[in-house]
This record gives sequence, structure tokens and C-alpha cells, in this order.
Amino acid sequence: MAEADPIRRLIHQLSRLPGVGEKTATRLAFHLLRADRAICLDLARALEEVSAQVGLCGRCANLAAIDPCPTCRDERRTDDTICVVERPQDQWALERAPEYRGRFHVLHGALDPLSGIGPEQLQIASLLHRLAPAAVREVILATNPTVEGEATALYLARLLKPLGVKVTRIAQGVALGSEIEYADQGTLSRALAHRHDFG
Amino acid sequence: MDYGEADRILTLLTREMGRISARAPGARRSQKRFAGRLDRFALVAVRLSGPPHRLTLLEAELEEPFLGLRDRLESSAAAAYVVEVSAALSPEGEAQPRIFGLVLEALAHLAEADGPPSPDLLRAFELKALDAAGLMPALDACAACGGPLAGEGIGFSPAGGGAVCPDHAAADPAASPLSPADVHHLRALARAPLGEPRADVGRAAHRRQASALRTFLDAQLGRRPRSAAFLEQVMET
Repeated sequence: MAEADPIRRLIHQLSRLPGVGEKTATRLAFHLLRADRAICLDLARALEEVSAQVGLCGRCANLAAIDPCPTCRDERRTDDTICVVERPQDQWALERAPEYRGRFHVLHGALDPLSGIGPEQLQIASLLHRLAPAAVREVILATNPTVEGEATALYLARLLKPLGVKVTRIAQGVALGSEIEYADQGTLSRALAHRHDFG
Repeated sequence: MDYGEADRILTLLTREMGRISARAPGARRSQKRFAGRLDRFALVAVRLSGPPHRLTLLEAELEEPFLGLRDRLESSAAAAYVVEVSAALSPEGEAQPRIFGLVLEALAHLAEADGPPSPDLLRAFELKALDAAGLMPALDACAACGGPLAGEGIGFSPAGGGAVCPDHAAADPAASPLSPADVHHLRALARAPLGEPRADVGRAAHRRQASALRTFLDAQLGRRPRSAAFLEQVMET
């Protein structure tokens, strides 16, 4: 049932956001009420615009206000490599690595049989469609190193390799700046299994 | 499942308490607190606090990550199936040490396998899991009349409680067809240690046995495990 009181309604709507409990929602709501009225209106406008304008890019399935998205339109990027990620925010993170100048593809999730998420729920058909013109030489699988992410990478590798495209997986192991003493067993096992020639 | 600001609600299959839920505070926000220790299909030593219906995870130590499950799609899909079936057969809060041991054994076999899991491993797991839950299908004699399981037309009846003689199979439209050799094979799988190699019975026999046992299992669980469709898909490709 909708709340009649606008303050309570705002708190209720904010608390529906991921990672926001009722306490934080209340804090945010009263912050907005105390803030400059323009801040509230700008926020409302931004939400309305996001809701009305943002959709999936017809090429990479990333969220964008224009189609194709700015990354797909970027002529400085090369078409011969596609980096596959689970979520739009993963693409944003990878765009911080200036070494990569290829394209992206967003799956919008990972295979999760326990939750009933299979290949049909992911943007896999659109990825295969992109490979059809044969301009793509390499697909980098940058799904998360979780059980679900690994299963997704294995599934995609099985689909992609028969198409003659080079399939690679992002490296896994000890994080930069971390200490081996505090790394978990799984990370260390992966780091040792994927060691490479050096020096 | 995400919970509140930064927590996660975990479903744990434990040796001492069976299937339980516990809140892992800060599991989503902190990269350090439980990093790499709360992923699926791993054996973890945990320290919990609170009453049984409101458990909180205080510490988690990774004991066995079963990393081999991440190297093969069929193994990963089978692990999901093993875990889902085991959880479904484990009532919340009731210790099920046999099911717990069976899960560890099955995950170890799947993680160490050089190839896709054999159909026999999956059937043996299903039989042993049903047995551990007190739902073992009849395999020695007709579940309906106690008569011999011989001749053409033997069936496997979810409602009847297992293998049924030709007369009772004919009377049960839901019974899956099986041969006497299929029943003998399933009986051997149920009694042998999990993963013990057996002579190959051929693709057609594997399909019949899988279909009969899965139909029986679905009926006992009251639903089809969500992971079953994906497992079937990857095992066929």
C-alpha cells in the first residue's frame, strides 16, 4: 500500500535500493529535506531522465542513453577484441585500465543454476551475433572469479572456440599491493596454478 | 541473498546442524572480512553466534575450495545439482551427517575428475541421497506387491515407491520403463562406494536410468531442482 505521507513514501522508496536499509533511507531522506530545494529537484530530474532515456545498447548490451552507446561509437577503439563482463559496472571498472582499447559486451549476470539463471537469461545470443561478421579475433572473458563467473566463462569458451575466435580469460591471483600472508587458500592455489615465466 | 546495508544471508549445509541460514555481517561491503571464503561449493569452518533462528557468522575459514569444480563446466553444473538436491532433502536445523558426508564425497569426485562426471556417479549420488533422507526407492522386489522384478515391462514408479513388477507398471501410467538389468545396475550403484568404476551399460540404459530416477526424485522433492535443466543441457553438449 502506498504511503500517504510524502516523507514516509520517500523513505520507503529509498529503502528499496540495494544496500540501503531503513536507517540509511531515513538519513538520506532527511538530508534531502534539509538540503537546497534545487538538489532535490535535480535528483528527481536525473531519476526521471534515467528511467526515460537509458536502455540497452543494441551492440554491446551496456546501459546507455544513446544507441549505439558512446563506447561502441568510439572510433579510437578497435573492433577485433571484445571483453565480456557480467555487469555494466564491471565495464566501467575495466575502462579505467587504459591498456585495453577494444570493445565490450555486457552479459547482465552470470550462469547460476541454483537460482534458475541459465544462458537464455543472459546476453549471450547478442554476443554470438556480434561475432558473425568475423571481424573479431579475440574474446576476453572478464567474468568474476566466482563459481558462477567461472561457469559462465567455461560455457562461453565452449560456444566461442568452434567459431575460430581466440578466447582468453583474465588473469587470477594475488592482488597488487596485498600481502601473501593474508591471501586465502583459493586465491593462492589459483596464483600458483597460473604462474608464468618471469625475468 | 543480499540483506540490509551490507550483509548477506547464507544457506549453509552443516555437519552438526543440517541446513541452516546465517547472516554474514559486512560480507558485501568489506573486501577483507570473508573474502574468498563464502563462495559456493566450498568446505568452510565457521563460527556462529545467536539463537538457531537468528544465527550470525562470526568467522569463516576455508578448508577445501574444491577448485577443480571451476575448471570444467559439467563438474560445476553437477556440483550445483548435488548441492541443491542435498539442501532440499535436508530439513532446516536437523543434523543430516550422512547427507553432509555424501555432499563432500560427491564434490571431491567432481573436482578431481579428469573428464565430465559419469552418469553412474550422478545416479549413485541420487540413490544415496534418497537413502540418507529415508526415501530409498525399492530395488530388490516390486514396491507394490513384493513380487520379483523380472521380465519385460518392469517400471519405476514415483507414487509406488520404486521399481515395480510388469503388472503394477502397466497399471501406473507415471511409471518409467526399466529393464531388469537397469534395476540390477541401480541396486549395485546404491550399495557400492560413491564413484566406484563400473562396466559401461551404454547410452540408452543411462538415459532410462536417469529419467526414472530423476522422475522419482522430483516427486519426492515436490519440484524439479532448478539446476537439473542446466546440468542436462551441458551433459548433452
